[in-house]
Amino acid sequence: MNLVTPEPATPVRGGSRRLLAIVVVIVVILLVGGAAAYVVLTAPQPARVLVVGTTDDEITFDPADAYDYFSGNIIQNTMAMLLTYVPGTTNLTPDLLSEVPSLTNGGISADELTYTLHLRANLKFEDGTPINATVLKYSLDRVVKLNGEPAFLLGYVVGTQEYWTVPGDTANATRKDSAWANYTAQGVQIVDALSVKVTLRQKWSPFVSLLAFTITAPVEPKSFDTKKFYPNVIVSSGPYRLSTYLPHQRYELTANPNYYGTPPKMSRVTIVRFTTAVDLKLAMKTGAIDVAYRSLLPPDFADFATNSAVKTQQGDSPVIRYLVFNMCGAADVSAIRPLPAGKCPHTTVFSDASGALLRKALAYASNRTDISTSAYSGTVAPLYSLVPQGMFGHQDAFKTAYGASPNLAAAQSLLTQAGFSATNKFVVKLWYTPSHYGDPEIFVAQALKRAWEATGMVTVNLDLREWTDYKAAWRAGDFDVFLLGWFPDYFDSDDYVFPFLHWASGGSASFGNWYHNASMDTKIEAQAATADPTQRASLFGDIQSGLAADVPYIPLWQTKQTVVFKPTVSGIVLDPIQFFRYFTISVS
Amino acid sequence: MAGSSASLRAYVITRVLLMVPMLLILLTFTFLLLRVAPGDPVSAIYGEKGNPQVIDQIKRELGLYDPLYVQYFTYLRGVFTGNMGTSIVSSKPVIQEIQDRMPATLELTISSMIVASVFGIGLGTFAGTRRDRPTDFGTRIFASMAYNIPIFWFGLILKLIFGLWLGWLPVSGRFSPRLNLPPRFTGMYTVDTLLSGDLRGFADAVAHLILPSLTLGIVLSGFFIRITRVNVIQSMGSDFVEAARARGIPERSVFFRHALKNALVPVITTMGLTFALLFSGAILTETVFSFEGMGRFVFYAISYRDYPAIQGAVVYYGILMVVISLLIDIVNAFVDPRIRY
Repeated sequence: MNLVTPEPATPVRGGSRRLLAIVVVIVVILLVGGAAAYVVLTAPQPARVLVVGTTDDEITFDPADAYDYFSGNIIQNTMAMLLTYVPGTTNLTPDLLSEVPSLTNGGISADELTYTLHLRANLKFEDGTPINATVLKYSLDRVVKLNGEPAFLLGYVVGTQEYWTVPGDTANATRKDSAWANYTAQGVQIVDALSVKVTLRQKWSPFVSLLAFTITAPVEPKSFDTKKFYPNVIVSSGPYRLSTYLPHQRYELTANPNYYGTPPKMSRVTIVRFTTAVDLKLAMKTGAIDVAYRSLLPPDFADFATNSAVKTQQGDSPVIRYLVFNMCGAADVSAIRPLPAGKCPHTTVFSDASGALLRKALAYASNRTDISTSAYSGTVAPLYSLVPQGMFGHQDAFKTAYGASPNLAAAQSLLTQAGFSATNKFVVKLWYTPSHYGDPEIFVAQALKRAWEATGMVTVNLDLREWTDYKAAWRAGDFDVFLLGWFPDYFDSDDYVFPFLHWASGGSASFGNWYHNASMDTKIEAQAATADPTQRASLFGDIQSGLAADVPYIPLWQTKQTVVFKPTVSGIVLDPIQFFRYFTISVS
Repeated sequence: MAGSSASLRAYVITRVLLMVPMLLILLTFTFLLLRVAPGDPVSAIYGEKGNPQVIDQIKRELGLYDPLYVQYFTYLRGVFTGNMGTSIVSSKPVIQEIQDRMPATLELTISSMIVASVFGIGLGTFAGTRRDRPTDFGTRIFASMAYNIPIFWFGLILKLIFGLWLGWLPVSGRFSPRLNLPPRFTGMYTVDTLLSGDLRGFADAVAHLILPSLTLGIVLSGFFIRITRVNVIQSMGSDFVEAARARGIPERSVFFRHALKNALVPVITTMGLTFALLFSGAILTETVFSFEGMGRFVFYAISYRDYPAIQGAVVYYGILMVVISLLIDIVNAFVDPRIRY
């Protein structure tokens, strides 16, 4: 019996040495060969192409279902909208329509219930299919029929709500058909070959803004039937066509020869998606891309801003961030609301008269500058209203009521009135979600904790949940105070007040806030029902003053768009509505 | 000889038949676990802007209001007819989502396994034949380091060195944005560029694969080195090796024809299972190098509780595991006749 491990003879060592040599050779070949091939063979091609890097991802390109930023932006660059915005402003201008509907030009009827949309003549999709009234009606009808995620925005069109509320099962087939017939007869009607009439069930002035949103973009009927969504299909009517598309990775746009407007500056644009902000930064640093847009980390952007090899640009953004107070009171607990989110489970410290003092105290103590510097390296702007800077009717209501910087004395006074002191501190749990809003979110929560605890009368415990659980928890009323953000559905100030503050529609309840004020509801309804700008501005002023007085939310900051680009790139416009136009950009 | 091939055939048939109950159990568990888990996928996706009518409609379309047994049989029917449903998040067929991502994962898996095998078997054998010598210690230290190194950190370091500082290799993605994508035959750029005769594209695709596959391959090789080394040592000390030596067979033949061949049986099994595991996606490597593969797909599906996507991914993964296990068993049965008896 051999108990000793045998020593292999020399030839075996020779064999394993050879193996080792093979390993080394393969690794060397991989590294050197690959590197040499990469350097030699992948030098930029002479063809002019603009390469844009992003961390955004697409979900669906079907206008009837698209409801996320990046999908919408690709749609806006490839499909012309009915209206669009003058670059760099929030002013509407015609795109496929020949004019912006208004009371003056008769596009909006005197009773403000009917909108007549006149298309330009000789419009075509990329495949040559004409864009006319039939196509426009078909496209709007398709949105209603499929009832995708953004379809509710057409909920003011006559007959839509009735159609959607009838169940789609066989037992209700006749009712459903009848509701559809009612909608098609009254909601959207063809006036002539190039005109369509849309009738609303009640006055709703933001409707005109919807004409610049992807949901109303005409689609090519042969490619988009009414049976299902087509998430991967784009039949272009805009400056670019989607020529090559690698889902979640790469989108190649080439000029659309059938576009009615000015041809794009670059005939070819490649948009490359990176999975992390670090990759986006490295791609910009190594010159793999010409433009880095959405979203670099704030410190990386600050770093690029001091780098002379690249250029940077900042612009306003429609994205706002804010704190939500759960104001669920005893009456709400027992109330049976028609919406699932309408009923809150328990009262909170922020619900009664004492809760109002606490909300105001925290508004006085909040330090927006600290958030901007500690979490975002100064790349965001303090916000003092839910209606952001640059939007119609904006007023710095919170700055007027609580000041631009923390007022600890005022906060302490209110906390004392609420029964708290340095020895009997108000203990509150502040919730945030760690990844949905990016890495800086923890620093935002810490800045708020610092600011509130600076009163000496508040103890803040931070807690977090991942986004999926976070959403479920706030809607269930589990959080007393928490951080949220908002990107508007349509670019009208209405979308910054109605969903947040309107109680009757269930809006505030869906935010886990349960704020209700009948006077506020009335003002919100009034501004939506008038197209008179003076009257609307006055009403928005009242609404924002009411917001600051009641403090159901604390607006904190408005994000800024940031873009980094090579010095050879020009023509970048950062719109306040965040429509990133590839077709105005050129590379010299 | 005839008896040997008959027994191999019987073994293969038995293993193929066993695949059916294995898959059924897997499908049933997946279905039940997703339904038992708290949370509702539709509400989870449509949080703050959730339109109750849309949520209700989607739940109805997904059959979430149907009795559990109806949902189960609908699910099974879909799987067996190749219809894995539509992703709630993207509205795209799950099978298409998998097809979109599979080529990236396949390229990364194959290239990483090549690196891991070359390093693992090569260094493991090298160390095994030099037991307790300095080179053995050195290799074992390397193996331990490779096995324990955080993959995202290692990937970032390689990117910094070879991508940013030296500028030799691309730091992320699968293909240069300034080159035209090759026509799609397989979705794997290395193959598609070759098939279309685009050598420049081929070099670019290979260059993009080097850092991710080195990252993943070297980390995996740590385990392969250790398992190969142990098996080589055991094999070299076994009776059949002694018997071969006693018969005067040259040491080279003893090692390559007897010792190494036997030592590799458990290594092949382990490598095969690792290979199958990698097909589900190496999420950290994919994330670090912006590879949009199966790992990230599964991650997103779970994050959003996208039932059809999760179910589709599990079915795909389950079938893959079962098939690869079968192939490994067959290969092992060929290599080691004792297995089939």
